[in-house]
Amino acid sequence: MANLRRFLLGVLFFLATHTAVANVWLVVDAQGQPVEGVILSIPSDSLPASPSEIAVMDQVEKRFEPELLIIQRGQQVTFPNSDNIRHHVYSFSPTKPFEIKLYKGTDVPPITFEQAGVVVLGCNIHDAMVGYIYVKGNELTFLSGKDGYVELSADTTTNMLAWHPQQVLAPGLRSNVTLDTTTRTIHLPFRVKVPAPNESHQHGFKRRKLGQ
Amino acid sequence: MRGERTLYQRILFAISGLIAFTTVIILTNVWVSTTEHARNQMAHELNTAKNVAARVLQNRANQLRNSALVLTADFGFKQAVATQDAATITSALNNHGQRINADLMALFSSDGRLIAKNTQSQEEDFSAISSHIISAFSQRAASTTVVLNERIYQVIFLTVDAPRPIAVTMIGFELTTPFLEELKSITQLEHAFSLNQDEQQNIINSTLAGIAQNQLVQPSSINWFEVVLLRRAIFAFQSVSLSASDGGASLLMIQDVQSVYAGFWQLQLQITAIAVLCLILALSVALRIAKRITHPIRQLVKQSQLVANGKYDNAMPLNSGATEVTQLTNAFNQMQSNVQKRETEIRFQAERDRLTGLLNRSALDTHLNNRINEGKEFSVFAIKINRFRNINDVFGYQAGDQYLQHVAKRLATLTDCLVSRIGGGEYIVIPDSAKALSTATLITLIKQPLILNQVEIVPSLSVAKISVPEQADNTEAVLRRLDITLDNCNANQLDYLHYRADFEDHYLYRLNVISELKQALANDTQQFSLLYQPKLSTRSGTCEAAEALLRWNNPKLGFIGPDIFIPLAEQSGLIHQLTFWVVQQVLVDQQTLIANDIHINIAINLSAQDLLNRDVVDRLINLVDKAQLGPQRISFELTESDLISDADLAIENMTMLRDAGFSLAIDDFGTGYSSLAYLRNMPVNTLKIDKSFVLKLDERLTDQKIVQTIIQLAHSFDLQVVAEGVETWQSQEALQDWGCEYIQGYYISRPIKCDDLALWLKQQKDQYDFSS
Repeated sequence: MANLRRFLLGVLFFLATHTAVANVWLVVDAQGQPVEGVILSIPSDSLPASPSEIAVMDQVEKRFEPELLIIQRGQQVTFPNSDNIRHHVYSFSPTKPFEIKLYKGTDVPPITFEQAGVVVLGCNIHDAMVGYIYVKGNELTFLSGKDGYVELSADTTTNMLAWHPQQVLAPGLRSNVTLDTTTRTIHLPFRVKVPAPNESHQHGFKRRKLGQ
Repeated sequence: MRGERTLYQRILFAISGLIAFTTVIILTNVWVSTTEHARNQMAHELNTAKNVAARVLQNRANQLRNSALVLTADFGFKQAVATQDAATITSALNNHGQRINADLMALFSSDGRLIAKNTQSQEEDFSAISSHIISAFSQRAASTTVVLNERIYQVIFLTVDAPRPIAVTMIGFELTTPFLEELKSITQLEHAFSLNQDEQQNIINSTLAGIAQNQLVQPSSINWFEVVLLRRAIFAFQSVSLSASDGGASLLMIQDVQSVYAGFWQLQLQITAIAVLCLILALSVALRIAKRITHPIRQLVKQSQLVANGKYDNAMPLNSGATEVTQLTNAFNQMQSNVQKRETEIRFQAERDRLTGLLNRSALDTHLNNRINEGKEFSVFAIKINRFRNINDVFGYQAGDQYLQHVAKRLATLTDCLVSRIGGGEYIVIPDSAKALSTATLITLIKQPLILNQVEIVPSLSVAKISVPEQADNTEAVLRRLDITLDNCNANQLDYLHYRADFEDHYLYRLNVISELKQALANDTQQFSLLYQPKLSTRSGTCEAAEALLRWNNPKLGFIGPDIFIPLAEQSGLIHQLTFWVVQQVLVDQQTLIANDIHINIAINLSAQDLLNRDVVDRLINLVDKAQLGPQRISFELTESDLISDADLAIENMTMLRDAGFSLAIDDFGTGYSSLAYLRNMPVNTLKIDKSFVLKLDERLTDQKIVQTIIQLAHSFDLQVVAEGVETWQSQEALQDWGCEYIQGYYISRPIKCDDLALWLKQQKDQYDFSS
């Protein structure tokens, strides 16, 4: 299957390179699986305009909405609570540690993220709630789409870093990637754990058989 | 016979063998299956114990996790970990560890590095378990057992989530004896921990004091012989490795095999006891059955031995219990009665004389023997039909048989008497008592005339009687002496004689004579001698002939007269031999006489038996022929009366002798029933007048007339006459006057030896010569 898929992708890529000028790459993880939702960042001197609008990280049905929020450095994020229960949103990430103690409703002051980096959000009451805020600095970011393809509209690919919320790695780390220009493939150095559809973010305790 | 067993043994062996076989099979089966069951039960219990241990460990792990969760879910702790506040973390670990009484509390980074630990865990080296930590980090929670510093711990790993895992908390509880006791309280099995120390499994904790690793065996390798028979203390175990990575620690479930087996052993013992009881019971039943079957058969064997010995009186009882045996008994009884019946018939036939139905000789012997053995006095009568052979000859055998039957019928009418026929015409009567039969009654009875072939005849019978045991004390003697007595009756023409001892003396003497005669003829003919009595010719006055007379002088019996031994020689068949000897001797003597120039005729007495035997006559002619003396030198004298029995043969043989040239004389003429008719036919040329007429010739007128008449008669038949017994001159003169040709007697000469004869003849010759 994998080979077939590879072949089809190869055909697609061939068509892409010959029919269009698009700069399309395939992103695969350490296990060679195409990865969706990888944020690839390339340092850029051109600073984007300082955003004025306030980003929203909503909480709906005990989930962060969106799960991943990409913002500009210095941008404000507000954490409205759309559930009718209280949440206790916190971050121990060095990029921006903060804590919004038990609250309800949307009447919450926005938080400004001054540093670039990754912020992992949690809820002290609902352990299963995990959200991510990617704070961009001087960089261009590209998000891989479905089937792991990403179109890099940058001039260069040097010093490319990759990050994924489900990377099997410390959540805040961004990693260097390896580019294969002949196959136009970006190799991530980490594995990405694809969450099971119903995986609750609880401390599962697999029964370990004695003697094994 | 080797290997032969009685039916009883066979039945017993077969049944008991079968039962013993069955018992052994059952016992073996019980033993094997109970043993198997014990083994299975033990394996099952050990397996259960293993599952229980797993469950207990799992439950503990769950409890531990819950208490660990309290720590890791604490927001403050999370904050401390996230901010890497080591002092706060350590104090939190200490505090929480005390609260839940944990032995190990530690915090590790995602790559297994120790971040903090509680004070109790100071000495532990966690590098050995870093792999556990790393894997727990990815799994976010894990429960396992680890060995640290030769201690076994159940540990819980939990990630500290903020909200993504940032560190791993480890909480551990040492597993020691109390835990094992807890397991024991659930499963009732002994438990132990073993640890690999210096390449060797050692038990470090145990609910069983003093148990060592080498006492443990796998259930599959238990030697049941040792367990059941030697009753060794053996412990079966099932082990569970607690820490696969460390390899060393195991939880052992231990079972005392003896205790497991105790119940089964009891069962086996009971079944063995029951089996042995059954065996004994079955054996005794088999014994009884075998006895019941074989008892009647043994009875039959005993009974058949009785039958074999001739005892038919006991019939076998028929209540044997088994149809076959009853049938056999029935058949046996039937056979017994048949055999008895047949034997009675056979015995009757064996004991009876066919012709007369009287007891036969052998039966008589038996009865007589029995009577003698009783020791009482009794008499035995013997009855003999005189000259029975003559009756057969005259009337025929059928008439002879009828005669015997008539006599038997009469004797059979005697009451209280045992009657037997023992031979041709001989009967024996034994009265039961002296009163039963008197001699007179017996004689009267048998002397009655009887009709035979329509001819009435008066039986000519002799009766002999003997008293037993006075006169004879055994069967043989009784019969022999009766026979002697009958012979005496015959000899004396008597009807009846009671045995006397001298009968037998005479008989024995005669037997002796016969025996000695036989002996003498065979070995010692010297005992015999011949004497010659000259016959004087009245015409010439010379002696022209002599009569040879046989004398026998036996060293034992002395001198025996010819009147005694000649009849005995005739009876015993020795007469021919005797005659031959005489003839040969006469021939020898004749040679001597001829040598002395004496030429006389010598007369030899022939027995009627000699004359009636053709071979003897031939041989006599041959003998004389061989001697080449000429028949004129030998003549033969025959006694008239003896010749009558077979006159034709006698005449034929006499003719032969005469034709051979011998002259023949009739001896003792005038004593027998001389028949003139015979005289006419007989080829004789001489008559010898019996000396009884001559001896007193000079005194008795009647004798003179008789002699005169005989001489005239002889002369009328052209026969010469010889007078014997001439003892006086007067007799000689008278005979000479009457024309008697020869005279013989003491007046002329008594019988003398051959040598003396030669001498005498010479004298006579001289005297004659002188007188003339």
